[in-house]
Amino acid sequence: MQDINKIFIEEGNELVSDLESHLIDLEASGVSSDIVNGIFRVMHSLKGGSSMFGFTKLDELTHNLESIYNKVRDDNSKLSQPIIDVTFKSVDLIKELLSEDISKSILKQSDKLIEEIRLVVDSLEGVVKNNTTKTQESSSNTSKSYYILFKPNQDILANGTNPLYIVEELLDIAIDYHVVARTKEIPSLEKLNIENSYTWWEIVIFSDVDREEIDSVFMFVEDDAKIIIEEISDDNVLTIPNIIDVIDQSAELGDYIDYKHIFSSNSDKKEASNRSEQKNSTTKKNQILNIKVDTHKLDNLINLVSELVTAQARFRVYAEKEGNLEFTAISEEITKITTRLRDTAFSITLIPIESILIKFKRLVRDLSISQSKDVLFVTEGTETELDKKIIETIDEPILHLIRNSIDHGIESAEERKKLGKPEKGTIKLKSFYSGSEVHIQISDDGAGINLEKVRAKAISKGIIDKDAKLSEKELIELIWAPGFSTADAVSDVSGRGVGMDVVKKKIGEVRGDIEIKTQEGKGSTFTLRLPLTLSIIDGLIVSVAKDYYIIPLTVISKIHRIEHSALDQSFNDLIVVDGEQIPYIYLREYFSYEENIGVEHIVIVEYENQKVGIIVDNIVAEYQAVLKPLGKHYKKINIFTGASILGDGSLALVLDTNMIVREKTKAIK
Amino acid sequence: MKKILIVDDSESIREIVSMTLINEGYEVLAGVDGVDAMKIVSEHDDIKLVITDLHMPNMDGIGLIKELRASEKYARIPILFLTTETQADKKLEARKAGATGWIIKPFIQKRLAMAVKKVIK
Repeated sequence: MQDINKIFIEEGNELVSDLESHLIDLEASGVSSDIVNGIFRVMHSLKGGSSMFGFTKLDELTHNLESIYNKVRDDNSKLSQPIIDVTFKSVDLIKELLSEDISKSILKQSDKLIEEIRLVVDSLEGVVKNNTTKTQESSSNTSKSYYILFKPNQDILANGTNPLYIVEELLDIAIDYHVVARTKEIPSLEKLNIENSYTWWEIVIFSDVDREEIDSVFMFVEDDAKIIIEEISDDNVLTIPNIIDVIDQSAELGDYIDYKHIFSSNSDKKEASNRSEQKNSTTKKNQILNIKVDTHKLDNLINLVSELVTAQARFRVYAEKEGNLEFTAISEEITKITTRLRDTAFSITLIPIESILIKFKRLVRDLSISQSKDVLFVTEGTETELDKKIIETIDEPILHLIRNSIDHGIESAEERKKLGKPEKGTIKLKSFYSGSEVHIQISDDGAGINLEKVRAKAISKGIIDKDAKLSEKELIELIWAPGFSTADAVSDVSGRGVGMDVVKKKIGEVRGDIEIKTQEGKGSTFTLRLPLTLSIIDGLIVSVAKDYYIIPLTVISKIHRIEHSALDQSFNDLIVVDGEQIPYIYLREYFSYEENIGVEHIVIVEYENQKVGIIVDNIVAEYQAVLKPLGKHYKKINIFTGASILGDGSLALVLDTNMIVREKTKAIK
Repeated sequence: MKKILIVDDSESIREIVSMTLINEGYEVLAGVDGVDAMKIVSEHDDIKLVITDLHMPNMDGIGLIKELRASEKYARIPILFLTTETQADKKLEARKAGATGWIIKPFIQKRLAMAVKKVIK
């Protein structure tokens, strides 16, 4: 160090010589910018060096002189006589101060001159202020969580800054951190300018450094970036359960993380999750964040995914034909991914049954009170998921079934006591997957269905003859008959005349089915069988001439091979199959194909207890068809529910068998 | 070892900067002004950082920064400039010219090392 001091002293002396020569020039030729600049540079260097190497008094002396000459540089006319005077006076003192041993008298003289210079400075307009010593706020060394946004301007790379270094520096001072890198502004390769920076970062850190130190990370880029540093907590917010997911999800929702809401409400979240844990222990759900999505977007997505699946299926067929190993391998990989993609996409349209439970609970409560019956509502498997459209359609039927259970099923507390049953009646809603269906069971431990009453009622409503002989099963099925359940005493909530026939109809609308099991005195169970999704049909491909049609499997009751001659023997559009006369529709005729002379099949479909036979050429295969609507121009053609694209790329129209049955049975009547 | 170029007309400053940075494990090249600096720059392809004073004869710091930014080789090299606190206008000018950051004089060695670490490639 001592060597450096010596170097500086030597340097200083040279500078003083320069100063002297500038001053001589000044006296000789008057003011010029060269001279002024020259003097400035001397003062600047002296000041810089003296402060570096501990020549404090020299630092003090040259400090204001530097400022003065900085001002004079801009406007030479400011070089007043007082300035020149103090400058001359400083020369000798500077020489003296450029030493490691300075006498007290020199120090005193320097102070005097420094005062003089100060006066000159004050009289000079717009003088730069002295160094104000920064008051360091006593910073307590407590740890805090911060939200930091660092969004560098696109051209930040131009001044040699690397934004990543800044991010890294920030993470270095953190105890815990989570970074979200925002890359959506990175353009495509053709548009990419490699001299630009497109990425920005949102970072949550937990750190014990002073706020000043965090600020200092961004010291060089303050003007070249958007920077937000906000304290969010005295605790490490990153330890809150699921918070990383919450942050990431918020990041996906918008351009910026909604940190104000996420972190302000987190104390509430902690409380809320504690409360809900105590409440319901049957569902072990994690806290899921929900997003509202426009159903059109969802439909679009499903559509595209379905088309992808179709295209992929065709690709696969082609790959297998080609027999090229590598090609086949790629095709299989794509198949795997597409299948998963399709499952995921479809699962988005599924919501758990739990979502409609609240209505049921409410109904049970209201009816229990109004009917003075003590009813317990139990649920099982409510996390089972269904297509949203299906759920929306079945909630009314289920409400009706529950209503019925309480109205007619569950006995009063007294009666139950007499019967040796627990005073509290139970209605149970159980839901589970069964194959490719969802089953929802609504059961009660009430009185069950009195079959005699059913028979009596059916006779009185003219649904059956009083002599009609019906099996138990058939009797139970009468419940679904139209007109059967128009209630005589209309309970307040069922006033709309929603009968059991409507229940069955609605369930049929979503291609579902409903069964009753009942035991007198013990209770009844209604089982709804529903498809997982409306967009996919399990169907049977049939062919007529060169075209394909699809019939939903759920409606098919039987398939027979028939001889064409049987059609000739038909009468009144009725054909005899299995000893039964059923109406039929001959697709070749219906769609105006040529006559067939070969083999034909009849597919017997059912709807609302009515059977109709659909006569086709061949049964081709079972197929899980993705149902696609026909489009607005075909709305009037109601014989089809839609169309589907088969694996080989050909089109199959999906028959609306319900409609066919209705039409045909109407015609006959 | 990473190469750093220090440019200052004051020998003592050049000395102290060199000493500090060599201590930190860097290799240090030194120039006396902007012109000198450009000469050194043309002879070396692998300089990672330039530290320059602003006030120098022949070509001052601002001029050097502009030259470097206009060059092909070193257009995006990190550049730190030395400045006293009172020189707000110069600071702005230097940044406009394309400087990456600055070091305020007087500085302690630790601060110099920190600033270098912040920006060096």
